This record gives sequence, C-alpha cells and structure tokens, in this order.
Amino acid sequence: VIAEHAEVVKQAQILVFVYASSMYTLPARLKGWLERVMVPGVAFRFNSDGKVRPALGSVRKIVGIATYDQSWWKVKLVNDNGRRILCRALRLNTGFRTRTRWVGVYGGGDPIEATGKIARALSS
Amino acid sequence: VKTLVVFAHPNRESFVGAALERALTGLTRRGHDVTVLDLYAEGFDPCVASLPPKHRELVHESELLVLVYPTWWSGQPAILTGWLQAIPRARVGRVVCVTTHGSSKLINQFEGETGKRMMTRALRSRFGLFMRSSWVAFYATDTSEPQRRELFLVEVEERLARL
Repeated sequence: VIAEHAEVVKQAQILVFVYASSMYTLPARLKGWLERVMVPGVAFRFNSDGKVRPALGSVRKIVGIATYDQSWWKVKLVNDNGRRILCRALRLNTGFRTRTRWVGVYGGGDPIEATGKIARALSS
Repeated sequence: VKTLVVFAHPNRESFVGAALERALTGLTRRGHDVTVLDLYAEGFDPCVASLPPKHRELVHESELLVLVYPTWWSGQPAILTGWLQAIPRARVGRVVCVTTHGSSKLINQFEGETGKRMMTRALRSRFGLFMRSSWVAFYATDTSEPQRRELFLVEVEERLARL
C-alpha cells in the first residue's frame, strides 16, 4: 500500500489534505502517513554532501482544509503546527514555486459553511 | 522527583537510543525516580482516543515528563504525536524534550519548529499555563561529525543531571 501511495504522490500535481486537527497539529494517522510515504527517494533525496534536496518538483499546489476545536486567535497564538508542516516543511520538498492555499474552520464550526472558500482554494 | 521518560524511536541502538541512555544516566545521578516508556517496543497504537490505563496512571503520578525522540517532518513521530494527543489533563510540572533534527536550525526555524511549539505551547492545554519546559536539541544530524554528536550526548547527560 505504501508503495502505491508513493507512486500516486510522485505523479500528483496538486496535493489536498483534509483533516480534523487535534492538539493544534495533524492527526497521528496523517503524520504517520507522511513519515511512511514521504521517504528518501519519494519526497526528497540526499546529495553527495548528505544534504536534503527536494524531489517532488511536479507538485504545483498544496491545499489544506482543516477543522479546529479552538478559536482562530488561539490557534495563531499556539502556532498552527499542522499547517506549518504541510505548507513549509513539505513545501521545502516540492520547491518554492509551489503555491499553498489554506481553509481553516475554527472554533468547532461547520465545514459546510466554508464550501465557497474551499471551491476558491481549489480553483485559484 | 517521580519522572516518566517516553522514548519514541524504533531502534535502541540508534543515536536517539544513545541519547536515551545518557538521559537516564543523568536523571539517575540526580536521584530521580525514573520509569521508561518505550512506545515502539510496547506497540502503542497512536490512533486511540485515550491512553491505556497503565499509561494514564504513569502520567498522573509523574511530576517530570521527559520526551526522547527524533524530529521527523519537523514534529514528533506519529506514535508520540498520538500519545500526546491522547494524554489526559495532569499535574506534570515540567516537560523536557531531548530530540535530534536532520536539518539545520535555520531550516527548522523556517519550518516553524512545530515540534518545539507542540511542547512549549500546545501541551499547556493539558498541563496548565505554568508548566516549565526545557529544550535539549541537536540539529543537522545528516551532516554531523562524530565529535559533535559525542558532545551532544555529554550535553544531554549534564543538562538532565541538573534538573
């Protein structure tokens, strides 16, 4: 399964992550997925100096759709760790030309209300 | 002080495993009452909603929590993320992280140091606003020389012996 997922990721041009955050970060299952699928040879490779170099050059856009139990300002105060991992750590492995779009539903809100935002994030 | 050490690396023979050994030496030198929880060896399932009763009890009776783990994708390994997400509210007064990063401090700062924020900020929602935290971290493991790694192990032992 891991190899299949890696193959899909390597061919993808847009990565969309949809999750319910817990303790301001990704659910353990999604974090574990990143650790198992995004391994050397898929997401990055080591150059001759032993430094990490990006290998997901085909990804043009990363979109995150996340729900939070906490309010917007509390998420900002603590640091939106899930968003940082996907929009910065992962983006270092796709290249700086990759755009990122984020849709957050804060304070236990209903994701249905964010339908318009989601549509815009996916199309822009 | 009653201390719980949580280890989250699949291999005890690794660099992080060596850091664990030195951390334990330091804590014992200081005379702390140490219990070690090896999440991989226990086969802990990170997708549970609440911790197993045994882990719960350990968290409740500990005053000092030491997390020893490698930083992967700029955060705690999933097995530890899941453990922390399932942790109950408790009266832990201090959390210490002993961790290694593959890339440099600069790269990690750009990425937002999410592992550090998880420990210094997010964990306060469980342990209270006045929880103290210490960060014992090694950066740029990928390109490190043996001397620098050895120095870090010494630092781990000395800093944990001073707690």
